[in-house]
Amino acid sequence: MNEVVVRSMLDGALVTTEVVVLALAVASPLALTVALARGSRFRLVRAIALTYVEFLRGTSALVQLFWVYFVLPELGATISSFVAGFVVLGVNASAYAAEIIRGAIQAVPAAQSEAAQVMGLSTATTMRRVILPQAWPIMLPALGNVAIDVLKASALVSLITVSDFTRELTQWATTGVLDVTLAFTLLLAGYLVLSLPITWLGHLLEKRSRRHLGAVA
Amino acid sequence: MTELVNDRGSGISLAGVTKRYGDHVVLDGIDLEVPAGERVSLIGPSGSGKTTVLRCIARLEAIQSGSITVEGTEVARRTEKRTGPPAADVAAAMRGVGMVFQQFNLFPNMSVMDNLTIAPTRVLGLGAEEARARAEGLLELVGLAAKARAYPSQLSGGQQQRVAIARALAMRPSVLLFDEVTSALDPELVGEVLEVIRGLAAASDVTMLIVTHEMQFARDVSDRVIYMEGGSVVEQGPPDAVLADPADERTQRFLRRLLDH
Repeated sequence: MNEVVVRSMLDGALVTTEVVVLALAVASPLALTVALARGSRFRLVRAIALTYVEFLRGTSALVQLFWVYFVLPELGATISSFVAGFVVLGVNASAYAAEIIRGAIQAVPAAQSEAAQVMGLSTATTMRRVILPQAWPIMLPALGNVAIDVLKASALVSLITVSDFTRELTQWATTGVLDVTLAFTLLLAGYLVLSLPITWLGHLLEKRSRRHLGAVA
Repeated sequence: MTELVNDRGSGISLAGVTKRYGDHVVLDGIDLEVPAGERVSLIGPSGSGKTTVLRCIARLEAIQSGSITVEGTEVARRTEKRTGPPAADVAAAMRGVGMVFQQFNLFPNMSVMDNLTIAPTRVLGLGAEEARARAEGLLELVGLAAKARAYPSQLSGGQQQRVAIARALAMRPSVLLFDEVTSALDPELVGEVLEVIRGLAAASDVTMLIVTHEMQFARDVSDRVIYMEGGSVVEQGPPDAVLADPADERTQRFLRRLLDH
């Protein structure tokens, strides 16, 4: 393996990392917003949030990516393949994450909200100081899975010309520079290595989030 | 001790309150007057609606008819009159109502100190120092001054319930609702919690509405005992009368069954 190939692999891994980190940055605020909207007391807000979730979960992420990359320019909005990549992956993941967050919020005993209500705390304060901190350790393992899914799904951006890890290595394989077996085995191993920090961070956050809760939650 | 609670006082009043879950009637047009400063115990078999009375007063349950007045403000209503008091007035009246739950319901993600200061700072607008000083005083009152930095999971059930009482007191309520506050405790921890409530009753003039299965405690602490069954008040009067010499056959049966155990 020559130096050019190694360099391109590392560049690709970096691009993949960037796409994943940015996608998660897009997904996090969206997911929280949609999760809260799913529990809104206004029916219209709940309906919009449900439509958002069902639409994104019910259509293919690859097709969503193609649509944004190939159709939006037809409508007059050009968007770089890199931006299209992380935005679509992020928006797509937010639908799954929103459902996880909503489930975790519902898993916090209703008695906690009741106690807060009797104390006169506002709905917003109750959510921020009482419910979400207790929902956090409940949602973390599943959110970790979503983050790993985003990493794996990020290979899709190679199909809209983003020079990510997958695109770099497949190029060397198709041009005969790298042996096909070696290229795709490197790809498998590479994604595994990239997933390790996510798993590790997930465990760390989980441990931290539970330190005061004892047997509760 | 006088600064423990507000003395705004006109107590609690329920007029014709009905609570239903579907076809199941939990409160059947109940009337109840608790003047400021009175200590009233609600007793009765499970399913009699006594906890629901507290939950309706605390606005944790909607009612299907009647009205509930707390400190002179109608806080819940289903009557012919169309307009009730503004939401801000209801919120202000409800600030005077504290509740202690069977399962304590402390916030497990916060230290004891934060459990006690969150509402005074967020709702009453107290400064951090003032809220902290108030919390320290209350923790001393319930005998847990050393536990300010502990988390609920590090405390026994009895300690948690004493913290919950202190947390309710941190809002300086004029009305306290106690919902079977010793039912979830190991028997040896019941005494310390009842002791705190007894002390509170002796040292303040807070209005208390107590749902309990502890008959001796009800007898000691109450001005009046109400026996409920099937969502209605069956019998009420001074504790000695209701508990020692009940007039109604249903009350007699209930108390006899308790003694059998």
